[in-house]
Amino acid sequence: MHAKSAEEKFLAEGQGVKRYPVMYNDFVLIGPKSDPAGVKGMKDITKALQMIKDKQAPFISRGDRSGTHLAELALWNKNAGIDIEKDKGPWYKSIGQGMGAALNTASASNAYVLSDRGTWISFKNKGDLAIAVEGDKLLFNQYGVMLVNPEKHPNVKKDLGQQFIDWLVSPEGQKAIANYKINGEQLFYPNADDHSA
Amino acid sequence: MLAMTGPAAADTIQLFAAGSLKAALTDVAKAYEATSGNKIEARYGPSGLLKSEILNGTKADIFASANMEHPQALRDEKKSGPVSRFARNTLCHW
Repeated sequence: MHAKSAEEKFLAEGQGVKRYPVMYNDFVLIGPKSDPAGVKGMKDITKALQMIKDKQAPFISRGDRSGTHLAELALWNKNAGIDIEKDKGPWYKSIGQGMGAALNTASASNAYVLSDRGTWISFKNKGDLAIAVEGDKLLFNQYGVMLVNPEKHPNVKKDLGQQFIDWLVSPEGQKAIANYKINGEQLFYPNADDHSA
Repeated sequence: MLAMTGPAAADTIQLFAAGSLKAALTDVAKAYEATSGNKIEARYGPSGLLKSEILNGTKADIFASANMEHPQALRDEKKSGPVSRFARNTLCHW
């Protein structure tokens, strides 16, 4: 790891024990089929966000400090070079709710929204929405698992918890993850053997 | 027989996990329960919120989170100017 991440900080503060990479999936930019920002089919999420901002096309943000929300903020602030707090206008709405609510709001208002692919595939109320941008490596989304530190949190069932983690990263657990599909589509890609993840 | 399939007494593991993992982990946890005889009691929500709850002492044995590097990266960026750290994402198998 190159950066000291918040997860590493969580570990360094003694709140959790070792973090194990488990699997990854990806984010997709969802938008109205009418595509007011003209981004449909683009591969470059950074450029797509710049165009949404330039056109002041409606965009829904979860605003709930989830991994998806933080990824969205990083894409605006870090990658697209847009200080979203400063530059946002009425076109950018932060709702402080989960993925389903954000997709529903986007569907009702024909807005763009960043979603994890799994929730999008399962989402029943797609309305006039479709995937606008996908496939950029910046949209990669890693998941990890850690045992909460029993030294700080004495109620933690250390052996049992570790047994579940060991199973998750074992060939059997990794296979169970790979086998999970919605509408025949694999949603998560196990990568416990990728120690750089 | 029981000794071969896992701990003699079934126990419950408290799992906190990112909301986007709900559907998949529910399925995966069932596979684990069938193998081990233990139960998974899961709570799903935004990773940042769950992390805060653990810090504040809410009981959880395991935390399965979405990538939480971003807030730290954002803080670092504000302190030290633009730094390209997303390169690590290119390490995945695309």
